[in-house]
Amino acid sequence: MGQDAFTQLVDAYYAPLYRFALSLARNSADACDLTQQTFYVWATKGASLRDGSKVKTWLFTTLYREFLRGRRRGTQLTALEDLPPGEDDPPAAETDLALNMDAQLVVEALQDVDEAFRAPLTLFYLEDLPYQEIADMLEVPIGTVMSRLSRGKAQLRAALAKKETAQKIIPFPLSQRKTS
Amino acid sequence: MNTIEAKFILQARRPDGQDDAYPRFAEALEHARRDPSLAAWLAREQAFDAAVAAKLCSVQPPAGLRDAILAGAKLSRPVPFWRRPQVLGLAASVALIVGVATTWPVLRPSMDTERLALGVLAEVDSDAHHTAMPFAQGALRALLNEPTTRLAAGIPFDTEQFTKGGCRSLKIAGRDVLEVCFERGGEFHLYIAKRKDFRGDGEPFFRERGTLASVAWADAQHAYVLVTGDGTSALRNVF
Repeated sequence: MGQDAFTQLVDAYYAPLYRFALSLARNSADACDLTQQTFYVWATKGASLRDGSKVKTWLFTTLYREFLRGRRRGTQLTALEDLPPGEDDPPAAETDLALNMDAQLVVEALQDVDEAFRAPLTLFYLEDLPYQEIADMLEVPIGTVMSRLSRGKAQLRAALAKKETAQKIIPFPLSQRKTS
Repeated sequence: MNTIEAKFILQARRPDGQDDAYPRFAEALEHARRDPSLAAWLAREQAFDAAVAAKLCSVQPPAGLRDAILAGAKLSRPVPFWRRPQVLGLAASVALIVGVATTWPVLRPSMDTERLALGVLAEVDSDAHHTAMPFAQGALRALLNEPTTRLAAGIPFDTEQFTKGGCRSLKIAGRDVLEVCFERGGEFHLYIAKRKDFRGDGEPFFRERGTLASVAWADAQHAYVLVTGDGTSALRNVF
């Protein structure tokens, strides 16, 4: 691949890849490293990909695998059976919760979602990949993706509500306290 | 499908509607059309999803990340030992000496075309080539990328048209040569020289060396060398 084609590839995908990395890694520095590492892997191995229509999926999958590979030992995923169940009849979410909140807080709420649900949930909101490709990437059936999405959304709603409550608590200014 | 099942499916429907073609989503959407309370729930759910998606997509990568990726990837591309300039230079020299020594008596009339091909193979492996990679543009790109184009049939371009088509100028074996790259299933590199600068009968001559395959030939106006890393069969599909 020529330098121009590589530059075009970076321009097309580095922002959504960074957003996905940010949700996984939970901090900007690690997200930058993951995004860079993904394009490094492309620069060294990407030529072996013959189907040009699979580039986007290849990049997202590579980033996810690099994240899993780079996670420190001892920080294993919480077993799915130990996580709270999804809602049988989910309530409609409060749109205002997300609309009125700063993007940074929404991303932080997303980062509070358990890791097992965070990847499918972020890919759902990035709207970049069809379900079959998300399922292939996570190596689970589509039904499992939807199940994890359901549970992830429940956690996201709870995290957003918690952040909204925290925002409403206005600390009392120390300078106005009466002293005896 | 009951309302709970429909909600389970519909909460996975993306706000941009890209999932509506899936039969399960289509069935659940039909259910929502018949059930006003489910439709109202879906509208609120989709509004929430659109709001979260918009917030997530408004997050901008840090300034400098793009440039760091481009610089890092460029520096990090591994150069196998056999593609290092010193090794390449030595290999090209040995190949040239051996080639000249063994074929001189038989192939003397086409010697210069062979030198062009050998020089081209060394050039394709060079750092200069990997830095430049001049991809074809405009009419030349259209011609080279067209699956039915066979280069052996001739390329109706003069030097000026080749230059306008994105070709890079370089010297090989002391002669002016134009270089252009294109993709047709794989990556190809075409080198064009003035016919008068290279002797030989112009008959196609295929060779494989290392991971590279090449064919050299000439018509009335130009001498050509076409190179690919995808093997002789790929070469024959284009040539």
